[in-house]
Amino acid sequence: MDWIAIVKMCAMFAIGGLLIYLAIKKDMEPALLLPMGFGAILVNLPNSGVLTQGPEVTGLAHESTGIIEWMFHVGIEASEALPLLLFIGIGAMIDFGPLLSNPKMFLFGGAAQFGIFAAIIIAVLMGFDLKDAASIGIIGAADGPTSILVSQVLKSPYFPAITVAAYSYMALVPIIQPFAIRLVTTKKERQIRMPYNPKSVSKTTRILFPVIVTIIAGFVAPMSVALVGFLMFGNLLRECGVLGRLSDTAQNVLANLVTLLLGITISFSMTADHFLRIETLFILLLGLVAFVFDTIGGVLFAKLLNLFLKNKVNPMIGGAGISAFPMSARVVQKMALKEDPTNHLLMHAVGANVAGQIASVLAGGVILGLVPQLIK
Amino acid sequence: MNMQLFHGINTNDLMNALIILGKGMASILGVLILIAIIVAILTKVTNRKTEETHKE
Repeated sequence: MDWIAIVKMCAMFAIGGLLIYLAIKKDMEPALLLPMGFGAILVNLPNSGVLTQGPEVTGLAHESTGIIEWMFHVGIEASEALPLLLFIGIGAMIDFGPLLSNPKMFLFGGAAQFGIFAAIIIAVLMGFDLKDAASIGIIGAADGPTSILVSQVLKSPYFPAITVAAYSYMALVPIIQPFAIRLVTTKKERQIRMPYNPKSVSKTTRILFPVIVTIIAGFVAPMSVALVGFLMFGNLLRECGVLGRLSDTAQNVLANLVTLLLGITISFSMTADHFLRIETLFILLLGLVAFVFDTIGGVLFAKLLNLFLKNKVNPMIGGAGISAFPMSARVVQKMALKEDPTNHLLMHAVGANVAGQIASVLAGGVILGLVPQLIK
Repeated sequence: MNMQLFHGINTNDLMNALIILGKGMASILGVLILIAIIVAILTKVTNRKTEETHKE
């Protein structure tokens, strides 16, 4: 090994150690960052057995298949099976009730995807080609599995940096969002009260909802069917009322198992050659830009609606329209209480937040549909 | 990747990025508005049916 390779290896060990530290000490998305951090160490060891090695390394007549490389090819590269399976678990965890009882909140989920597109434009201005820019922009979906899936389908070489950024910024939502919201709101706007009078949601509506969403999304953005379909399949398991055991399995066993495997599988691409590039820093910066513009987009949209509404919306609710659930809703509730200790916005914010979960997978599907058409 | 920002902008990619912004936001908002309308109607219809059943 030459000294440059040794320095690179040590740098990757340090990055792996940093991810493990952030996961354990700072509680930043530990379920993903810890396996990724440990995986980064595993794949950067010289002639690591977790990667496929040729006869010159193994000393055998044939190559030896590495487990992490195999899991990556089968679970992510070949079919995107791992992120998609995770969506079944996520769908089974989500209660769309607060959104269904106040369908207006759907709009904020859509508006808060603006950061994705803003980041794509800025990435293009910085010199990334459209395919990579779109993969980077999707960090703004604030949805790890969607980021993994889109960057993998578009075959972006920046896949590992995108994944790290997506999960890191999700954990930093309580820091990023208050800053972005304060940037575009006044104290008076943050104090706007919103009475909560939820309509009751029938079981029929709850059952039909995942089916309707899948069909509409499928017609408008066919590439989103895998993402939306698996998310909604999980939700149907939850709401149908006759598959309690399957719903429990999806929410707990399946989601935990896939998360465990996903983190360590992603680390396959965290080899020094892939990760130690100047572009990694740009991607981390663009991820931050995407999250800030998501929040600003949602807040400004709420302010725009207020021009026409009799009952004003607290613009902070717009910022909760990102997919980071339930962090974003909690951030808005906390900020509202800080401005006025009697102003409770949690249920409105939760509605916008779950709308963001649907909107983010839709955004992923829309980008997967548009980008290949445009680069033909 | 080369730093186009400092050496000139790739206008083709920029145009495409703007098209993605326009079409993307329109598609997402369009789908969500459609779903919101259907959900609102569905909620109204099913709630009315429930009320009628209770009255009976």
